[in-house]
Amino acid sequence: MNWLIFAIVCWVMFAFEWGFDALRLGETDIAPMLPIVLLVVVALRAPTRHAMVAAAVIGLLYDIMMQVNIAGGGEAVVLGPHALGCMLGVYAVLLSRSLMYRRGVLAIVVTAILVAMLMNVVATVLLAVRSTYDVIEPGRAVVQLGRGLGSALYTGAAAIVVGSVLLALRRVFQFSEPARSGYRG
Amino acid sequence: MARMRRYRAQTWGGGAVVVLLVLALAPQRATAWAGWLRGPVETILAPGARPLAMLSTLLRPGRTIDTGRPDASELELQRQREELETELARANARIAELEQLVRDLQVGAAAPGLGQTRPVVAARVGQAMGSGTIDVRAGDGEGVVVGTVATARGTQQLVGLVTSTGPMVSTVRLITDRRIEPGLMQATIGAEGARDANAQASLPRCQLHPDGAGLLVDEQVPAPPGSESIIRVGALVRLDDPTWSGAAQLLILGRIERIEDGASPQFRKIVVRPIVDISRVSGVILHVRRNDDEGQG
Repeated sequence: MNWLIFAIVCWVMFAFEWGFDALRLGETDIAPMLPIVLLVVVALRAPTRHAMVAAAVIGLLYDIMMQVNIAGGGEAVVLGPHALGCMLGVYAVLLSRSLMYRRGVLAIVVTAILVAMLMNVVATVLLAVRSTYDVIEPGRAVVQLGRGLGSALYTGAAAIVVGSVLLALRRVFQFSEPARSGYRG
Repeated sequence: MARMRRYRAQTWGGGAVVVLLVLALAPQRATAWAGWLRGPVETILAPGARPLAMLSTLLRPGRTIDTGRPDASELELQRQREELETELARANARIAELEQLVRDLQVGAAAPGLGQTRPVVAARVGQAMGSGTIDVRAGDGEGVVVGTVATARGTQQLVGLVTSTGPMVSTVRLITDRRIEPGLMQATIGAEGARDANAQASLPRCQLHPDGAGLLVDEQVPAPPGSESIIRVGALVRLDDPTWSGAAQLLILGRIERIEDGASPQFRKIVVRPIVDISRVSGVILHVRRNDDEGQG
């Protein structure tokens, strides 16, 4: 995989997610997680090691950008929750990708929802556990989960467009084919 | 050879998971250094996010409660009026403060420092992904510190307080977010009519708190008979709270959107909405404390 192209596309996706808040659903915080779409495209086509590294990178960037509140004011960066969630999500995709028809956008949509959901669930649980003995205040877990699951579904919808664009760019990424899949579409 | 490589990859992968798990669960005092990473990442992302934030504001402008006035000159006059009223209210407060200072000095009290601020224009680069905050493009280099007051560009609307700073980007917690500190805002209602310090001091007061849905609420505003002319829908509400920074005093918190019956006939519940959508402003003015040498220059 061409890591320079990955870095550029990753930069665009995070800049979009950070700056382009017109995609927010009404007055809620539900918004598509575009870097996840990039991650599933990588997870579906790149070798296992590359996919896991990409998951760690995107997850860590989420950890850095999603600050957590601290009791008494201020914010903290908590490294780990989103990175672990992304890695778990990508691991699930890697286990099941040989059963998928990976050339279509439908696989990207389904796996984007799966990875986004897993990332949010893992991050919410880890932050909730840590908040029981630490100064961080991540907010009510139920609210966070609701927002995360809403965003995961929205990510799936956004993946129809963004996934199609990334699929069209697959030659630029120079994915070296992973181990031959059991299902050849 | 291939088995060896796979074994090594699995060891590295397992090690990375353990490290991430430890980082995720270690207490804040052990992982505070991670906050340093945000500055460089923001610096890299900001050039891409800024044009997208501008485009976003263009495509979906924030809701304002002063809608229905398409005339630009009228809007400009409204803006100037709000600005002058803020200046007048502040001047009145300053006179009262200085009169008190003269009385204190006459009895031998020490003179306090006279804080001044300078405005720093900062464009919004995005909304922090954790919500409740916005990120603006001004950082340590411009003198922004934690606690710096942010107002909306072109209005006297208080947006929030800076809660973290980086080399190029600062995070502003919005006044409508429940996690803002101080969480209570003492305010005066109907400041449009006040023309001197006495009138300002006699205005009805309220104690607002964020409701978590973009509004500020006080469930128990004293409403004596005859106050209906001041405590009314559309009345301007300004911050007047000594627990807040001096630069935030008498800035606009919003206008009363709703008045409901309170727990008893003597009280009313008021709901205040900021005059601009503070989560979607195109930029803010940061009121940065001026250094002593800057003031002389």
